[in-house]
Amino acid sequence: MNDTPPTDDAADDLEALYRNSSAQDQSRPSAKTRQAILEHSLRIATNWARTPSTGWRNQSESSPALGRIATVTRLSGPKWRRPVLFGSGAAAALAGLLIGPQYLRPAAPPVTLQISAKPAVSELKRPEPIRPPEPAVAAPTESARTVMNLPATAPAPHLHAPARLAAPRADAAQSATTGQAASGAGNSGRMGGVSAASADAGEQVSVTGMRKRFTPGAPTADAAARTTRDAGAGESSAAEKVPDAASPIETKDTNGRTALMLAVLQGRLDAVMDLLRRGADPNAADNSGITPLQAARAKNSPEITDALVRAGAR
Amino acid sequence: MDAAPLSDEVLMRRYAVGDAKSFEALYERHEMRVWRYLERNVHNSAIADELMQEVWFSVAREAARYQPSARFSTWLFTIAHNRMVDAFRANRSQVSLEALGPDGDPAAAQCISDPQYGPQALAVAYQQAQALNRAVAALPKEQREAFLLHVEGELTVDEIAVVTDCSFETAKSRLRYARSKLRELLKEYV
Repeated sequence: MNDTPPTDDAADDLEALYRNSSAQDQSRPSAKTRQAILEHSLRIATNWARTPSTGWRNQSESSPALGRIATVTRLSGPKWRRPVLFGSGAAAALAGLLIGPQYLRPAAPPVTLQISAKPAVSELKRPEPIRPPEPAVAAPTESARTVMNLPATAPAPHLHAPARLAAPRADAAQSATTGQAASGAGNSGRMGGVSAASADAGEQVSVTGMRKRFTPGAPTADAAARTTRDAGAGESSAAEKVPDAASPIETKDTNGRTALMLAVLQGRLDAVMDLLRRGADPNAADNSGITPLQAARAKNSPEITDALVRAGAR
Repeated sequence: MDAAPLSDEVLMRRYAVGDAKSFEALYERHEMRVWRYLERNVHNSAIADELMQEVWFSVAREAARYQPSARFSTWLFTIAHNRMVDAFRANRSQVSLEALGPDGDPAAAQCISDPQYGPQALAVAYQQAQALNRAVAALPKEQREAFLLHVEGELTVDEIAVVTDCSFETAKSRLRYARSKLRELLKEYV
């Protein structure tokens, strides 16, 4: 608020004159008016004391002007406003969950994992056509799923083992308990998830929908749910899954970002520490030449920065 | 030691949960300010009485929805301004300045009857009150309202602009002109 005096004139004397004169002015509202006002306020207060949230509806109107006010009050009263606000909020949140992720990384194409005869993902390559998930594939490497936020429900590529390698995953139901996880599960079906191209060695397996799970800064519900599942399966944390024997820790996505870089971007100190402990390259730059250390400094994450520096990041 | 008086906003919240005494305290605190603002704008006690009632009825009714995002007095005088504008639009008659003779000026009459004044002081006070009321009444409507909002509502220029729905510069200009004119009209007293 601007409290600038309205004029440069010395207004004090004028206002003092006015106030002195007004102080002598004993004219006041009629006793009848005063009594009507106080009685009216008392009636309203009594109603409010009885029914605080609806007392105003019981007031009778004594003039057209007040009738207009009461009409406005009724229309904007809490009886219909609350459900409308709640419904609008829920709709906005649902729309955000369903639509928002598609715009987070609109240019990122699906990523292809090339796997060897062993059921391991050796590297990520250009995308293959999207195909629906097949039941006889194993889960993608834990590094891709965990750090890149892939849905745990996505079937994984496997060349020779017809049976599922990963647990049948009760996580579909579990995922449905969180909005993001539920969204991810839906996406895996729609966008193809992971599909095995053939049973030959060196087969390329298309892992799609990955960009939809790149949600830096928003790993909360999904990651937490997945971590809980993994703990139940005997894994201590999501990060510990990353560098298993079949998943090179330096696997990069289409932007050249390693799991370490993604963990830095997501501000996940625990994942960063774990990856570094397991030998992740702290200087692995992405396609833009950005190193994890630069990313950590840009995100103003001093703890992650320290961890990277201690690990030899430059 | 006396406890600090409760703020207007606290009183409103208390009233909104059924404390009628809070409303009374609020009314006592602002009664005369609102009254003078209305009465000196419309120059008619009966109309001012009616408007006064409407204003405070509105305050009571809207208490549950009151959000202290602005000062209570700003909110209160906004209601008073709106009720007055409604009254003008409804063609309620306005007592003309010429109708305010010495006998018709309640403030001046009160000065005369006040025992604290000696004969000479009485005369001066009477003349002063009369001159002041005439000078305020002689102001253009917008300037008068801006001045009364400032001296009665103790509103800042910003708040006056909000209440009267005009720009800051306009409100400031109105207030400046009002003061200038009052100073001219009351130069023998100021």
